[in-house]
Amino acid sequence: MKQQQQWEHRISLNCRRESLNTLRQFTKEVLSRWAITDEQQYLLVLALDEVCANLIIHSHSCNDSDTIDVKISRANDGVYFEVKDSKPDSFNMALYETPTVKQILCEKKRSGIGLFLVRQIMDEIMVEQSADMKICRMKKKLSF
Amino acid sequence: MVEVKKEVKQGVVIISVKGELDASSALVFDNAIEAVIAERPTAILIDCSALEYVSSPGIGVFISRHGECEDKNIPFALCNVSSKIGNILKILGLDQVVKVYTTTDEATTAMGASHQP
Repeated sequence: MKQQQQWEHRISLNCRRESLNTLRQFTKEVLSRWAITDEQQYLLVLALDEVCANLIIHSHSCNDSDTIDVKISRANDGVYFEVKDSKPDSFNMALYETPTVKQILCEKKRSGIGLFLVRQIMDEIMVEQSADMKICRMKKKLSF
Repeated sequence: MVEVKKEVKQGVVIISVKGELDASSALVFDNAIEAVIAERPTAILIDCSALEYVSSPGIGVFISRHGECEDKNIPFALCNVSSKIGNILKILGLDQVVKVYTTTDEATTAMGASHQP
């Protein structure tokens, strides 16, 4: 996923549920500068919100002293999200088997809906894991 | 933040949800619907006209409470869904499972009429 950096914006979030609202406002503001339609903005905000919610709630158990770092950038071919988590053993969404639509709807499953949506919305998802860091990178192909 | 209000129109319990339904607020919404279901209403309509955002915890409430209503033979529907939120329902195929009405009047007329004695 090589990208030609043109613009980038960063935010650091404490691991509490309220940070998700801050993240959404930040993401929306950034995306609105880049001539992205409201519909696309909504989907991209949702995808990033879902990934960060998963980390904050499930991996960090809303521990306010923990943080995750988010970078939003744009290149000629699309929008890139990067979520850095200093907890390397946290939940790895790349390994998670998302439920099918049938499972979600017929079995009334509540878990897995968020990651299902992320996979539907984003074009590329990669998770890199090192001894002290986990980085989730996502790309949405868009023409500017 | 989310605000949930309840009113009854033509025998249909209308639950209006205002604001953002996310990981912080979905429980408030869920509890409100649970309380309404416990009263064994004729029908439940979720008015989404002031719903600005919904993420998976909120969608999970739609899915599970719709399922519960189906089991209890209580009609459950949404109305006034914005195109952005409608798009999410489509991605999940939820628009094929949960009835979505364009307006409150259309919904209450249809849902109220279907349960006339």
